[in-house]
Amino acid sequence: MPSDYLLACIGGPLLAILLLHGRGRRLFVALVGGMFAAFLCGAISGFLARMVQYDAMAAVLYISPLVEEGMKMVLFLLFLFVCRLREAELPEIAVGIGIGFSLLESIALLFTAGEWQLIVLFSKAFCSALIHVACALMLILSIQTIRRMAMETVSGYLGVYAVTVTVHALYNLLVSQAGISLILGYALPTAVIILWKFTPRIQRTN
Amino acid sequence: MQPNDALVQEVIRRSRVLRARQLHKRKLLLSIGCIALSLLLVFLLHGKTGMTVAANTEFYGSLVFEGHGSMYIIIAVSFFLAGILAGLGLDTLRSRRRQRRILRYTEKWMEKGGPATPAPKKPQNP
Repeated sequence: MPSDYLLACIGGPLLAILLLHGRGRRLFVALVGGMFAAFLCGAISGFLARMVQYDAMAAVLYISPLVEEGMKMVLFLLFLFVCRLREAELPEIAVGIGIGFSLLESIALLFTAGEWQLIVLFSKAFCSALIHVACALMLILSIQTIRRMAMETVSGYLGVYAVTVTVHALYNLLVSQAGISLILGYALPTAVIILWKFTPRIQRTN
Repeated sequence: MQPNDALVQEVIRRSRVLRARQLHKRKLLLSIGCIALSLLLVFLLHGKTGMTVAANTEFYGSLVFEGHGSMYIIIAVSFFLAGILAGLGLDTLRSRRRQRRILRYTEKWMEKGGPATPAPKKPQNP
């Protein structure tokens, strides 16, 4: 499918955001921003892969996580510094951006997938959304912690970036193979999300 | 005039309103700029890019485009990032200039022992 069509799909909802107000608009902006960033990431990864003469598989394993997490971080920092969001609002922005990323990937998947079983397609799209949301949450919560600890430095941000890139690359590597590796890959984002959900309760108990 | 609690509260309230207005203006400008740039990008890139989604995407965990014209996207992203840096730089310069003007005005006022002419910027009434 030509990439121009994907860009056209993003352009329409982008204008509809102006009709919304408040939290709804912010969430929708995060979602469309995520979709637009995913489109740019696909093009950048393709360009870098062609430059270093990698095939698409190698590009997904070695280049895409770097580019995707980098773009996510730029988007977060934009939201954080331009919109001056409160701490409670940060997770919903992270979820919006993560879902935007996975939505565009799902659209691409829809156009390239052949005769696939419905349950396999669903689990692939669902786990793709989970990994993007998990990485986005990891990024935004770590940035929040770094800001709170007054360590707002480049090295702090680079550390957070390195962790999310590693998790994303691990997911891509695991799901690229069939069998137990695929199941482990699908379980990875679920484990991260569960950890995020239960961390406050564990901290409260201690 | 002696500052009292009511006066201080009023000053804080007005500063909050001004801050909210400033943020609202900044967000509006940013949204308009982003939409305009996106539309411009669509028109400029029309027919120049020939990228398609990589084959066997269903086996991958991420999205990769293949084909020609991706360098235009790289240029657009570089300009966008450079634009953020330039915007931040301009904002810093503007705020420094404003601070210098306020300092100069205060110094003048302190020397003369009365209000100097003219004030740097009159705060708007909410």
